[in-house]
Amino acid sequence: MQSLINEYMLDNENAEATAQSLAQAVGPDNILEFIRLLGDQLVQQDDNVRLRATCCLSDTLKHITGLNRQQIEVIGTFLTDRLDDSACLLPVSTGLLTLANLSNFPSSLASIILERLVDIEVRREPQVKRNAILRLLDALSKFKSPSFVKTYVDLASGEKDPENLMLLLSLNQKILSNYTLSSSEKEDIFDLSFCYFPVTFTPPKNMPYKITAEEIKEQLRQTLINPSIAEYTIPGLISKLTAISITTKVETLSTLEACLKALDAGQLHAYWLQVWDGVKYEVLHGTIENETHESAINVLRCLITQGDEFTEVVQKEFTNLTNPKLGVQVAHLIVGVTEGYPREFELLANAAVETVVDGPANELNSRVPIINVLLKSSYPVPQGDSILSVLLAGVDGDVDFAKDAIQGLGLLALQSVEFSPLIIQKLTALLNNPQYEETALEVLITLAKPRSGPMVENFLSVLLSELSENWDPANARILNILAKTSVSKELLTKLTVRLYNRALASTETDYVVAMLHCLVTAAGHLDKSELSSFYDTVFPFLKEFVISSSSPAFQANIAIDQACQLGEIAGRAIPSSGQAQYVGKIQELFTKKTHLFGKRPTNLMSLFVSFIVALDEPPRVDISFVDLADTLSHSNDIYERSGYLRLVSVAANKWPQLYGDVDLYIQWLKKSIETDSPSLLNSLELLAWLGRGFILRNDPKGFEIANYLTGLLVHPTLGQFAAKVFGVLLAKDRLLVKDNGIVVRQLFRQRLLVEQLDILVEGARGPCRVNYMIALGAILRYSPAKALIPHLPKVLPIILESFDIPYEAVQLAAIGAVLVTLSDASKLFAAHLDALIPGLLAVSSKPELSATVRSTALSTLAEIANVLGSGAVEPYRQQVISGLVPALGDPKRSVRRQAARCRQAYYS
Amino acid sequence: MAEPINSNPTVLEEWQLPTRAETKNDCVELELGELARFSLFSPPPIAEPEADAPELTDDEIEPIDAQEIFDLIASISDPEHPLTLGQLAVVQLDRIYVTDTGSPDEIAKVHVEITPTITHCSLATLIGLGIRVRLERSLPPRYRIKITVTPGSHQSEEQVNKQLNDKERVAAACENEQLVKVISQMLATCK
Repeated sequence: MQSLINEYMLDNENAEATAQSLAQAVGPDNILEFIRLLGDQLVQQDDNVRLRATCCLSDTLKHITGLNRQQIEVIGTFLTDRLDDSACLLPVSTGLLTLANLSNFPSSLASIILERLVDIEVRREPQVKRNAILRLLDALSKFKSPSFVKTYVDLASGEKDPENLMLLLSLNQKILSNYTLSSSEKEDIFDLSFCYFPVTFTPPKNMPYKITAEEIKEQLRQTLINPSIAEYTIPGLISKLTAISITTKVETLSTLEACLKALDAGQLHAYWLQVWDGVKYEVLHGTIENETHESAINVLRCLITQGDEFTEVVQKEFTNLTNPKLGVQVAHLIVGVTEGYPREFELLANAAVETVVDGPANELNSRVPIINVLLKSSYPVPQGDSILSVLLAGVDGDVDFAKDAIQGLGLLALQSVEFSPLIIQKLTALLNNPQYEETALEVLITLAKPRSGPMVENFLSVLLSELSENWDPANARILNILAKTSVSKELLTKLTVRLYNRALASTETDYVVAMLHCLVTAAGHLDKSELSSFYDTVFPFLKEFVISSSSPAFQANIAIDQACQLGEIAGRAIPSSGQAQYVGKIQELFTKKTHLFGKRPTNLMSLFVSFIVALDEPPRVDISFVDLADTLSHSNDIYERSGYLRLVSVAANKWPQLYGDVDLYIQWLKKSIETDSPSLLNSLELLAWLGRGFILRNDPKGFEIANYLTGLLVHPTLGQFAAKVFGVLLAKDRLLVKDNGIVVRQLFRQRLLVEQLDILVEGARGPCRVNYMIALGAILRYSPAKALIPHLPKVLPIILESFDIPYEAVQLAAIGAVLVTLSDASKLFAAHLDALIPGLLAVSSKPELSATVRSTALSTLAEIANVLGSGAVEPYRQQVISGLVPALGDPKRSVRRQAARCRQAYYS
Repeated sequence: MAEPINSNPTVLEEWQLPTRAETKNDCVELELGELARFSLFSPPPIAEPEADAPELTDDEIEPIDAQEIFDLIASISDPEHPLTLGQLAVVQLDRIYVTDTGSPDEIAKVHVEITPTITHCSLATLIGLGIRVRLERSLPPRYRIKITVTPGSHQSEEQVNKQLNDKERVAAACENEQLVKVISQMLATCK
């Protein structure tokens, strides 16, 4: 035993293991012998030796089991006597803690320890010792010694360390729950907790224990909500509401809410009036936008269980309802506190409405906002008739209140099915009043879904009846309103059917197109689930384009294009289970009524592709892509061609099996290009669109086609065509998107950029530089800025040269590339300002370039000053300011605006 | 900060300011967009300047008019309120007069009448100076700028007008660093 004691005293590193060995050697039987052996060292003058010996005793105690009551008493008394030894306070406290946790610890010893603890100057001790004392007190709290609370409060006051604070607050909760406290003791514990409110703790970066402000706040809140100290907490919290800080107020209110929720009905009754008086001003004299509004309402809502007493007190505030500003807040109060309590809402709202509507007619308009707030409640507002009268009268009053009244009518229609037809009629009539058109339209849109039945009868039918037989610009306005408001399935269905019938009677393309456009816009507001059966409704309309080929209104490209958009929307929303039936309809329609692959191309191909693009499986229609190429070779019409080209892309992307051997088809197209056949341009375009379908899905075949096109750039005749069509590989297209089930892989643009950039940059320095620059322009235009930045050093010289190339697409792409990468590559651009600024200035003042190029150059020039800062552009300031003079007198307004903006950027 | 000279001015909302009515085509148009850009069958032929058709073929000149001048100066910040001159109705569309033959060789004139929010506004000259600086920076040099206060809107009308249109005084003011700093702050919100 002695040797182990010596080992412990000398070896600091293995103290814990040695203590365990010692505990085994000592056991409960030799404990007194152990203390005797330690004896001299426990009372040594030298602090270090004394501390070490006490630690040895304390650590060994942790591992000894089976100590009897007498032994505990002896050791406990021994350690208690050493509590005033500051050097050994930590091991002494830890040793006592070990003993206090033993089952046969005598409660008399607890009282003795507490008596001795009173004499300790805890606040002078470091955090770790204070922590040990607090843990000891925590262990002693279970003995409920009469002096415990007083001793604890004395010792724990003034604690600031977060870890200790968490312990202290937890101990406070234990005391409040387990002790029968006198009034002064309760106040002491309240003071010991409330002094930390509100918590403004910001954890230091190097804090060893990760305690957050939120954890402390929660611990404090759990203490403060204890009902036994409510008599102190509630007034205390109310007094904190005078704080200026919004955060403090919100924290106070949410704590108060938690406090009230912890009280039973009887306890709450004692405080509710005090809370009401203290908190109501937060609502009445604030606004709904205030951050404290919601928290204050939550507090006041806790008081509603007081029943009639509460509603009577609330009604005392109704005198304010005749004051428009305060009245709105009273209405917010009523709506807020009664959320979840329909009976109370009805009672209060009824009385409030009586007060509001009971006034001189000329004052009622100003009270409309109060009614509107009441109407925002989840529960129906009583006296709908009176409210309706006030609102209808309000619409005919002052403009500002009239708009409020229109909003109010909308809210009333949402609450009451009974009034909605009348209200919708009124709102529909207001659409003809330019002052109120916008507000009425907004309200009608909100009613479209919840009141679709009355909307069909009282709005849709009325507006449709206003459409003239022949096309008139006024019809555009009506169709525009219908497009915005038909946001429910029912309204869209009715609208589609009614417009279909009208379209059949029309021979004017503009009219048919406007009707289709209206449906496209309206359908765009609905989600997929609402449109799942839309194709059934819209199919007869779309079918008309295929079978009524004699009507010019159904033949025009513009009409077909709108029909395509409608077909896309309808097709996209069909669930997989409904696709078979849909495919059957399409096959029947196209195979019987029209021949898509005949000698004469047709713009109906666009409609066909729009119908099928979103399908999971391809339709069983025989497609020969060789025949398709032949058919297409007979058309120069861009729109007519687009249907076929899109089909080629869609098939390559989604259903490559339709090609049979696609490599063979590619070879066939290449041969047609290289043999200078009459359909050379046709084949080149087909190849590009085929490549685009593959590139979207990152298929190597697409990148091979890109290589092939790049290879053609140097060709004396084909080069210029390959350059132009190169953009097809990357350009955006409405049809080729993920929503239509097109496979779009990430990084396909980046891959094309990486594979082609060096070749294009190299070629841009050669004899066919224009061709290469045009292709490079397409890459710059469509590549993401982040992907471009690493390549900018090699591309920038080409960008600067491209300012002189008389080809707008290249110039726009080059300037656009500067604009999108400017902020991320500012250092690079700062180093090239010598060439960049004069280049952009020159572009901005060339009248032969389009206004788009000129103004883009100017906005880039302004952006350079904004991004690089005045220091970087200082040497060029005068040059830019005087160089912008021609642009200030530009014939186009958009250019002048950019020039003024740019000049301002260089002046400031 | 000192109490504003007019602590409660009438304020217009942004949407209430006059804007250029957009010419809206009621008919829906076919947008070929990128289809046309890269089509080998789209005019004009390849390797010539690509058309921005309406822009290049359209020789229509959009003259500088009162609305354009209003747009330039309405967004200038008031020196004492966190509002623009347009919102405070210090500048109004119907108090801007442009005289221009359209010929680049002839002198054109812009006359702006400013309406201070109160008749004893001591900042009228500063506001006028700010407007002058903004217009001189944004208009071609052939434009002559005249700035006056709306008749009857200021008790020292004549004095203010003289100060705002005296070349020497304006030049002297623009050399005052402190003044230039204030004007820069006023112009910082210009769109």
